[in-house]
Amino acid sequence: MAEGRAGRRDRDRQRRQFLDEAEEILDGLSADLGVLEKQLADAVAGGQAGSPGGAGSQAVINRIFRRVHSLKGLSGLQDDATIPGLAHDLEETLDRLRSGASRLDGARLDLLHRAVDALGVLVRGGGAADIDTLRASLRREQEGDPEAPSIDGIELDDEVRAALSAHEEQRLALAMRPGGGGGFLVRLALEAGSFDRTLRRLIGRLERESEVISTVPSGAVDPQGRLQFILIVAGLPRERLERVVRRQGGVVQALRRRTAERPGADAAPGAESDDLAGVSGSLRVAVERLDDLLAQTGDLSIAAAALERSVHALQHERPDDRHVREVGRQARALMGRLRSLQRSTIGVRLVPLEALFTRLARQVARTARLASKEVDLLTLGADTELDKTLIDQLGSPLLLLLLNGLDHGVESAEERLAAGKPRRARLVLNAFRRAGRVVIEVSDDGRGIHLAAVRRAAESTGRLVADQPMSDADLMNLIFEPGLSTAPRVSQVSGRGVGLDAVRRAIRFLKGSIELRSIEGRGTTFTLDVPISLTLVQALIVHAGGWRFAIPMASIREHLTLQPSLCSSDGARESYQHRGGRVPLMRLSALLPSPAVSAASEAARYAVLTGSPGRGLGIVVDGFLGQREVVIKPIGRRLRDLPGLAGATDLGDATAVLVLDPEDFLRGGAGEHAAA
Amino acid sequence: MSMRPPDEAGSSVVGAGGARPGGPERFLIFMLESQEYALPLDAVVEVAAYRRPTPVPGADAAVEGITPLRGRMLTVIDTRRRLGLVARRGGAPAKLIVVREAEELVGLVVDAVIRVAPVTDDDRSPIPASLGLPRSAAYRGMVSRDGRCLLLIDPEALLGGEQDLQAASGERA
Repeated sequence: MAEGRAGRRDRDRQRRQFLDEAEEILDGLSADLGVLEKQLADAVAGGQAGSPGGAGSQAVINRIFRRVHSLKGLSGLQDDATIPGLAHDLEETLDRLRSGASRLDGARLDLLHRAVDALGVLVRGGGAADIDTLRASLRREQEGDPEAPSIDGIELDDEVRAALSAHEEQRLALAMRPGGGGGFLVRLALEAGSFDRTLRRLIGRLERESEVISTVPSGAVDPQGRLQFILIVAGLPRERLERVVRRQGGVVQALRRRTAERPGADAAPGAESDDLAGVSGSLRVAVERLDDLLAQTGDLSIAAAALERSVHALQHERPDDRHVREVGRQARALMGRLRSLQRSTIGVRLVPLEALFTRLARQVARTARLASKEVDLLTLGADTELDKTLIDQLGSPLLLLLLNGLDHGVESAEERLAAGKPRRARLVLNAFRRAGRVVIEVSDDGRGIHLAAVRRAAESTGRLVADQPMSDADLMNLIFEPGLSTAPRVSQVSGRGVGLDAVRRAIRFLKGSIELRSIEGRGTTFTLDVPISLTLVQALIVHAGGWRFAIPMASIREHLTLQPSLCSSDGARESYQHRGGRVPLMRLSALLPSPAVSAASEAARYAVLTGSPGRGLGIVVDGFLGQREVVIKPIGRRLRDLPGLAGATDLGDATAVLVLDPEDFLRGGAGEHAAA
Repeated sequence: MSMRPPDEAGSSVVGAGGARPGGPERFLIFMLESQEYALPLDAVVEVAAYRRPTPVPGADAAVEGITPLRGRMLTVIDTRRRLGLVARRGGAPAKLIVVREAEELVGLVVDAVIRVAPVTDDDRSPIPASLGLPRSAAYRGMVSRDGRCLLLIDPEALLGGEQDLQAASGERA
């Protein structure tokens, strides 16, 4: 308590801000490394010696450099010096790469990956065990050829630097040597209609007295519609140069060499970054603020609902009063707008899958390279939106599925060719909306699941007895059980007993489902189905035992009015003869201690059919109260994991209404409760 | 940072911070079955009106249910039950003391909230075993004043696991 609450709050807030910005930088680094991987792969395929050159890679490496530099500055404000230290070493290596002093190849790219991974771990508060080795590797990279052409000490815009040819670099480096006269940047904005003539004349004039090292169109158009150019000129005193270009409105800037950086004596964090936040048109907002906003719209709804009730009462009392009728209309309109506001607020938390897909792509590319497998990852539907929390939690399961496919599914190039398949394997991540939910397919065109091997593995672990009959579909689903692995050896990529059970648990935790389809020899597809948002759902309001409950419409197959003749009971369990088959019944009222004693012997009257054909459950209720959109609010930690609950909501009268999760009941809760 | 006297109509919000620097710790005093108990003011967020919460299937016996408060769902705990006391008479007046637990809020049901009072270390004394208090591990000590005794509650122990509390008090679950 010595620090005081205010101090602690401030520190927390600063730390959160740091994490926010750092995560964004790490995301960008992921994307950039993914691009480099692709370029490297292309270069290798194109028969080059494995070194992507040219402006494309330069631009990416420059971007990586800027990001690492920003991260270094950001983290310098935190207490730990490990991140800035590592970032600094990484910067040096990147600097050599971008100046051409060292070439980008697989080994160097790997080093970059490792460094970025280590930064990620450090940022999130973990300890990276091999930091010292990593830094030593990075520093070794920095020893290099002192003869290499170096304009890397010169302060230049990155796009300008990237545009210079080797020859131009050399010329500039010469000009910038002590006694070489120095170099200048001339910025021009020329009318679109006449720029080529103007430029030619200007360059002609300059070349009579000086050396025009390079012309760089910056591609930008200024507000007056003029095209912007940059000239690099050397060999002329500044005043003279200014006079020559003045007529065209050129602005002269002397080029300077950067002074050697001392660790700690850095430019202000973010100074190098010209990724202007304003350009993207978006805003980073803390999730807590969104939740707060959502809570406020919820409260507004509650207040409005109370208003509506009063208005109804008033209308009941004075049905002919036109003022009262008018108030009623206005109240209804208000409710409509509030619901719309609520939906929009929830919508703010929706985020496209893109960033996640990019991260996954990087991991897949790198793993494929390490495993010497030739694989393309195709992503579709990256613009599909999901609630941010969901996306955060989907990362690990999706990665596991992809690595699983890569490791177990994808065959070697030779095997594939022998099987008549294209040499390069293909992994596909496909996301799309379906029936108000989001479906993500993870598929590979590899060897598929060998059911006989699954069977053998199951028998060897005792899960199945020899000759025990089991359908192919059920056998396939054994894959999801813990401890079952058909991999003959431990794999570096995804480990033993691959952890598909963890994947399934994770997806279920998100109120989603996962299914598997596979054709031996052709490939495997996992289909994940998750809600778009965990928070706002259409729900059926029912009552049982004197209390109300909300059941998400997505879980409901049918409303049933139970015919007594079709109900039966074997003492502990009741069931119902539905046209699709026999369905177990579960009395909702039996779950709660209720004020009205509900006789268990009373005939069950209504039920809500949930689950899938062949695996259904009828939830018995006393009656239906209607359908509406509800905001599911989380319930406290100590209650969260109780079976059958998705959360709670407030229907407008300041009483909590439990929102059920029928899937949970189906999974085994039902057995206990039905017997209760 | 003052606390308005609790009124029947609604809730009153307690300011932040119980201990003034260098001073005695301040406690919120409440009543259960004509016995006075105290919670460190530090842990208290507000005092709210009591409304019957919605029961939650499968919850601990001490959890009365959940109720909405300021847009969030509050878990409501029956303090009597946690302390091993006689159950409340249905319909008897009650109040809710809202306390912080990790990042969440929890409501403790009490009969009435009395006042805020300071307690110095000198005032405090350990609870004698002869009192035979159930769930003794829930308490930090007591204060004898004006012939009455005030039982100081340890909020963490009170909110912790039911079995842990019973075990720590040497009782069988």
